[in-house]
Amino acid sequence: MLRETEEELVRSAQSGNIAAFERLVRLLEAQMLAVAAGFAHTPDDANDIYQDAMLAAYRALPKFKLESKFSTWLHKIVVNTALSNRRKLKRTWQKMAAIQNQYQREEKYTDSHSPESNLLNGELNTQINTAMEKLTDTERIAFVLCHQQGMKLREAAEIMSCTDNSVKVVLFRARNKLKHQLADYH
Amino acid sequence: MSISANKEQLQLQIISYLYGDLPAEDVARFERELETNPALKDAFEEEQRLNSALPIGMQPQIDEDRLQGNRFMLRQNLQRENRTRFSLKHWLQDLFSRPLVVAFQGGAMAATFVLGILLASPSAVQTSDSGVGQLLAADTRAGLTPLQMVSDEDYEIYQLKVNNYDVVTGEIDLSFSLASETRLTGNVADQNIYGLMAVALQGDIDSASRLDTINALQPVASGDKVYEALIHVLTHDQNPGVRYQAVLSLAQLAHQESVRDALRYALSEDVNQGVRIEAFQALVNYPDEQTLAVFRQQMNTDSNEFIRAQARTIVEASDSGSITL
Repeated sequence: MLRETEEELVRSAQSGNIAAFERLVRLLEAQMLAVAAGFAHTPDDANDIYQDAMLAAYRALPKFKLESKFSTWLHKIVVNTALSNRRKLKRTWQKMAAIQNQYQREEKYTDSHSPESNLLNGELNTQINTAMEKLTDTERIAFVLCHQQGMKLREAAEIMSCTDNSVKVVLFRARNKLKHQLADYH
Repeated sequence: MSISANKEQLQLQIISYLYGDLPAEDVARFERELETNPALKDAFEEEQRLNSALPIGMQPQIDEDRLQGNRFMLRQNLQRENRTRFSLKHWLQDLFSRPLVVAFQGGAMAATFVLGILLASPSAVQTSDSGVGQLLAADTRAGLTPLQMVSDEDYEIYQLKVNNYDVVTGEIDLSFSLASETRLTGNVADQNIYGLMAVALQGDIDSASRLDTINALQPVASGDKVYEALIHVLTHDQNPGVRYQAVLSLAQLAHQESVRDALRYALSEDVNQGVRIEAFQALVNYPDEQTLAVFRQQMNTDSNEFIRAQARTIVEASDSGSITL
């Protein structure tokens, strides 16, 4: 079977082919949801952000010129959606997630390099969620992209539309806040 | 690069090192400096302490259930988006921007479509009771051959498969599917309409339509045909969102034994926690022996903390005689 290139999938999706768009997104969905979860207060919010961002991406796809990587472009949309979109969707998935989350109201952190490893203990997990909420939007973006997603400063700068140096300074502030918040755990 | 004594500068340089933005020669120089410069070493160890509590790469866990739920929602949203996006003007513009052969094929399709509407309009667009009656009477037209049904334009063949063909004798075994498009308008409480929708739920309709159908059927979920269809969906549907809608509807009917059978099956077998929790909550009010047996199993094996804890409480209450069957 011939493997479609990213460019072929993008062109097909640009003409309204939903299946092509789903195939493009499928390769990045876990990463994009993790980015959304990095900005959200609860798993419900993260799912909302992800859904809105993917729909925004589908709508904006005809304007995508293939000049940057699709993943970078999609990251930008997720980040912008996370910052601007706080509305709640009342749909099936949200109801489903709400029930599950009566018993897990916060994101559970795990090491992405070894997903099979144990989740963090509950107390540290809660502290991380609380500490993340103390960050400003920009600090949170820089921290999520560079620290959680393992991006280089240059890649994060492209997504944040600023210089490498600005990302570095913002990351510096974010790390200092987190060091203070998590002082008992290191 | 020289390492500044200023702590803030040191931290910024460490950040460049940690997040991989230094050229190779600067990395080597930084690491050499780390061994000889105590101020840099202290600052680096301080940064590493945060990394030990929150390692680089540590991120919110995204499990398969959550991915699956989001995939389903995304497909629904995209389908909705595509339906609202269609415009004849754009379609025609797009058609004429394509090569001549494609444009010709598109034009032919459009002409066929218009012709189809003209020819089919007296019988295809039905309303109210007469429409339902005619549709449901279709299976009584035993005297008609499939070819006659296609010829009178009520149906079209959309799938045909040759299962077996003997080239010597000419004997042939065919499977084919007939389809007709009919529009019904009426009330969902009409037995003919909800009966039709219940049958459709067990057929090969897409997930979004199944979900819409279950939503519409909720007010009339007490009909036998409807709850049988919902049980079918709960126990067979591959889509967790659709199963979830089905279990919500069936929860109101948990007083019926056949429904409880399906709920017990969902509680012990469904991979989705949301579906299992709904099934569990529906069964809590009917703790018969079979249900308690499933609770006894789930209190040890269910991956969901709530189900394990609640099932254990009920089983222990039953064992101690606090609740009677």
